[in-house]
Amino acid sequence: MTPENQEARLAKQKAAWDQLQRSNASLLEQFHRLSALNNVHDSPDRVIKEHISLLKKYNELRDTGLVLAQMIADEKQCKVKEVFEEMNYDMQDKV
Amino acid sequence: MPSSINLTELQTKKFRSPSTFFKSYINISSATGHLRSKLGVEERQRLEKIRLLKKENCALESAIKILGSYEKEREVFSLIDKWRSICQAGMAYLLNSTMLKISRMGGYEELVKKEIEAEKRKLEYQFSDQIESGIDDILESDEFKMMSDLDQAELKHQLYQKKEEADKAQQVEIEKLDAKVKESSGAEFTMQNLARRLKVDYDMIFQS
Repeated sequence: MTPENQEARLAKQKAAWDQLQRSNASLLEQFHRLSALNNVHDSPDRVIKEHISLLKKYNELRDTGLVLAQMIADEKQCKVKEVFEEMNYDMQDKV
Repeated sequence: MPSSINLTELQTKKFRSPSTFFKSYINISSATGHLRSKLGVEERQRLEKIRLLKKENCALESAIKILGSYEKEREVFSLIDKWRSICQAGMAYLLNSTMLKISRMGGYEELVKKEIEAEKRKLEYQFSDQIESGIDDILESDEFKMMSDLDQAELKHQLYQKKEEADKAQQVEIEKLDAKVKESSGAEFTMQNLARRLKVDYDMIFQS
């Protein structure tokens, strides 16, 4: 590789590094502001992990709830919807 | 840069024996290689730092997105509560109806006994019956009849040894099942039993 190429590559890498550092500072500032606003005291990775784990828990509970309601409906020989009405819950989630 | 040194230029210099030239060339080329590898290491370190910072920024962007719409996160919290309550109510209903059925059958102990008996029958079929019929098939086969008396005796010995091993394994399994019956003696049918039978996660439903 020629010295010119080497220099050009180095300059490109330095520019990328500077740009990333600027973004990092701005993102960190945004993250801290939103964390304080929502009273969250976790690291970014922890926030993501917690978010995924919540969605997983919701899906699992919803699936289990629907299976159990179906079992009850089979036993009572009625519709699943009626089981939910009897329990006083809406079958659909309004998100 | 040392790498740009021309080989022909070096060759034309006076008072240099081929061996001296060769040594110099080796020195230059090893110095070039050293410099190149040093630069390579530095560049790799630089690129690694860039990669890590990119990763960090990416995580920050995702976390900001989540925190930016945190009301959705709170909705998921309340939906989790909703479905946990539905699961608990469903399990309570099913526990009552199952307990009624069990008491009609003569109690939980009786139910376990019946289930264990069914398991034992299944085991007997799996172990003894299948192996016995397999042995019969071999002993009645033309290939077996064509064997010498000595080979026949050897094969028979091996087959019966396998049957014996299978019988022992069956006995171990039966003992395990008998232990289950003993365990259930005087026991009540619980929510944990129901969850296990329905293959649902008890902890997820009853522990937040």
